[in-house]
Amino acid sequence: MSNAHTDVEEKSQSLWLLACPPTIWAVHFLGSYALAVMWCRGGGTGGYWLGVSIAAPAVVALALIAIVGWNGWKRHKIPGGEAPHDGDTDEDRSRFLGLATVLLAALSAIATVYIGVAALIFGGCG
Amino acid sequence: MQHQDHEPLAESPPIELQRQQTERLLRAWAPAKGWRYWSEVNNSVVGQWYTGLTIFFLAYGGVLAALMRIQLSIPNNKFMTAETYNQVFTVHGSVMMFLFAIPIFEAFSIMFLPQMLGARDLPFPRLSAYGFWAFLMGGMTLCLSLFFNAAPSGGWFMYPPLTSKYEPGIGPDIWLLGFSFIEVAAIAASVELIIGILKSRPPGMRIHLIPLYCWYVLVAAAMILFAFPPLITGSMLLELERALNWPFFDVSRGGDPLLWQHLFWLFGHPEVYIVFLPSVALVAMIVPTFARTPIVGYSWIVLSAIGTGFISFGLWVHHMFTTGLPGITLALFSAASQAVAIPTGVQIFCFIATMLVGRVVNSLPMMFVFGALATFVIGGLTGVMVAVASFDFQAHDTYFIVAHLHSVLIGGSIFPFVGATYYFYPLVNGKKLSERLGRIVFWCLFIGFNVTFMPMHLTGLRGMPRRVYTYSEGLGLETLNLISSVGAAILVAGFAVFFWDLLRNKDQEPLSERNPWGAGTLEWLQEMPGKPWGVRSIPEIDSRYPLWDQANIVRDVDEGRFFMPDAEEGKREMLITSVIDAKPVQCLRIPGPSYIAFWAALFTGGAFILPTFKLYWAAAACAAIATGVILRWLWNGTAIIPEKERKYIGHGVEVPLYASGPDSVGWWAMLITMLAVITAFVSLLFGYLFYWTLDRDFPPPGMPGPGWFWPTLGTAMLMGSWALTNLVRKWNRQDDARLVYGGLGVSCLLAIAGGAAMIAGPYLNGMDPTQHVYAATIWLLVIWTAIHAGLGLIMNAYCIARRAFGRMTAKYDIDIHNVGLFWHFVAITAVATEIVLVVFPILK
Repeated sequence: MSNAHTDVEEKSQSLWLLACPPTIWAVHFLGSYALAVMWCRGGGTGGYWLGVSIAAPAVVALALIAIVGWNGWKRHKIPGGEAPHDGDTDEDRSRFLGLATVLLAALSAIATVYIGVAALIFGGCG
Repeated sequence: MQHQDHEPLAESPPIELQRQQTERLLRAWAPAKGWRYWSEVNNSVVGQWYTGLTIFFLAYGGVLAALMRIQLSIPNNKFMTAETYNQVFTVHGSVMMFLFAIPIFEAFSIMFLPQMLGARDLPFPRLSAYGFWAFLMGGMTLCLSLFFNAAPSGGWFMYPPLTSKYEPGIGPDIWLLGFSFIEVAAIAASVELIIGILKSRPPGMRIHLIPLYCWYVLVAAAMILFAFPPLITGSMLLELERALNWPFFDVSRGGDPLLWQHLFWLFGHPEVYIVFLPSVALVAMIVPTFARTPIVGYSWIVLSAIGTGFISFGLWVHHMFTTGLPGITLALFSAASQAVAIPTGVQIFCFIATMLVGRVVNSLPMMFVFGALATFVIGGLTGVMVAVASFDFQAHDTYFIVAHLHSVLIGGSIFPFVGATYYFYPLVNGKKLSERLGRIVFWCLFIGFNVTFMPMHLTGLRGMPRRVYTYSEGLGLETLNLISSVGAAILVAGFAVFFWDLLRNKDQEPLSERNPWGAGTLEWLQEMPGKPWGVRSIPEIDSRYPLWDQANIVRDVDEGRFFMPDAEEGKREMLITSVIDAKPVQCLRIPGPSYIAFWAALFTGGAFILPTFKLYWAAAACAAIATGVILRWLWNGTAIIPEKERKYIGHGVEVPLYASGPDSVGWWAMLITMLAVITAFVSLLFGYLFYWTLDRDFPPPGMPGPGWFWPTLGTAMLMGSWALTNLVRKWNRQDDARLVYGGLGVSCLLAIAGGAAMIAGPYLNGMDPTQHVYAATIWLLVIWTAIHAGLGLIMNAYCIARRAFGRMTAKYDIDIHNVGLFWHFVAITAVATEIVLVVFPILK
């Protein structure tokens, strides 16, 4: 990781990175769902504090997504090469995986924001 | 280090050598003749059977739809009775979803994926054949049930208590058992497709150069692994309630019918995208060909595929908005349902951008693409409407939903499928379908679709519920329904022309030229008609569109200037490459024609389907025979020790003929299969947690539990077996026969004792699974764990035999690696069961 040109080799790349941002979204989403069900089932009426209990972890999730996204961005922005970066080189393959990670991070971030905002606005159990 | 590219041989190999090579290849890949034809396992043959059968089911489901439209064309119609109508709409929905929409993508992929990857075949040909035979048996059982007035009638999503208490016949059993069987086959197909895409690409086809079709199919196949198991678990629970009176959905004994809805839609919503993604994948192949330019936004489309795949698992509750869930739950799922529109929209913009960048050539497949995009966008927009919970309260269970889902499915599946059939047909038998008839088909389908389904939005908003067999006069529904029925007649006409075009005799017609559409992707390398070997030599790939960008690639492939141009040993062989950069890593020998997959499917089918008729002993016998057949299949057909260690594949590259552990495709197949199995188990845990969270009296006070002693003892013994099996893997490498046999022997004993101890918990404590859902759930969890211990026992005994007969050695050790991997999952299952049985009641 010390040198941008050393981490484009096959062994330092993985498809799992692509799955990270949406997995973070999924964990937060399922956690929010479980929390809401238990909160409401436990006799609560929900409301502001339930909303905050979902929105606050959403901020943590967003931070994690941002870290993965930043990692992808670094891979995408390695210098050199020509757009559209679809050449048969290690660098272009690394750029692709980086860009796909960034895009998935952006989508996951939007979806996470949706969840947090929805919980803040409609926090009630009724 | 920069990747080393291998250029094709500069000189053409001598003509005589080429002749000998093609002769040897043809001999190795020659299709079986006569009756033996049905023992063929080659992907192109099995893919054709699979596709043909799927199209038959499409026609079958279509006829049922036409019958429904006849019934609904006028008010108070007596064409069908209510009961017949119920069976017809249930079978229509089930056939279209389970026997057409999902399998058509598996069928297409099995047929064309190797061609797109410049591969000779997929890594598990017999598994594909097994999947086909299973699909045939399960599908036909459901279709035939209609002729005996015995079909299910509770709707394609089978909600209990309607299907548990109020449908006494065998209809729901046929659905639950027959479709579970098909779902197992679908999981088998997804194992094949995932490994095919990740491991059998041509050298140089790096992960950012693969055809977009492969990305979509990869995502859809992965989704199957996580979407189908919840349904298999749900089906198991419902069948146990119907057959053995275990009250999972019976409120009076602690059950809850809503659990079914959760499990069903945990499958059902991702399923929509499992259908849609591979169809849009076809569009992604067709658009660049006719826009004459590479796809715009390749990375964005990959984002779409993966993003949709994930988010689609967070939508299931939007089918349950009207079941009285807390408001905040509706808000969360409504938000996720809006979010999925983003990746879905992105890919459509990419297609439009590609058309704008290129110069679109007027052609028949493109007409279907336009039809698909227009129709799907309408369905997508009404989808955004019903994702708003308050609107859904009004529209739920009305014809508005019928209109919405048909727009999505016909736009997102039928139009791409028909268009792709016109596009890919030359690859099947070297002939083109009729352009003239194709245009008639398009206009009939497009007009027919809109005339049928557009009015249904209004029919629904005026309050007509779905699934009613008739309606009264004077409700303002007569004209709308009549228009829909007229539209259906136009649709039927379109499909009739389409089927005619497929089936008519084309012997007199000339062969299509090679690559008739001027496409850039590898499948169009194929000669007309194609040869059974798939590809003459396996090319080195430098581009997303090699036929456009790599000069002379067709000549070089044909003359055998690339990799593996020969079959020196007369065996069917394919190239295995690395996941990210597709570097050659192994030459994999794959099996030829055999009936073994057929027999395996027949007897597993018996084990699944015979319980419908309460033939439990016959089913058990079938299960035993199936186990024997599968063991024989594995014994003779897998992990074969090659006659030499390595093989030369050309261009100075030598690769091993045998690989074990994470280097072998079999290990990955085990991992992927077990991910699906563990998902089914997690669905079962979800069921437990569902009751545990929602019911204050779960576990019910005063009811006996399994106690802590037996589950803990059982788990400890299974963990011992797990540890020993994985130690044996190391001892086998050290070639210490005493430790290998001793370790496997002890682990077998521990597996038996551990499984028995698990069962002993509820048994010795007198838990009655018919008394309360708590007892039923505990019983099911321990039986599940015990079955896994039993499978582990068989596998360990198998390894003992393999080593004793010299089929597994210190060096050639695929079997023990895969079995060790299986035991990891047994260990996880046992520990999770222990926690649920012993810890959760204390937490409460």
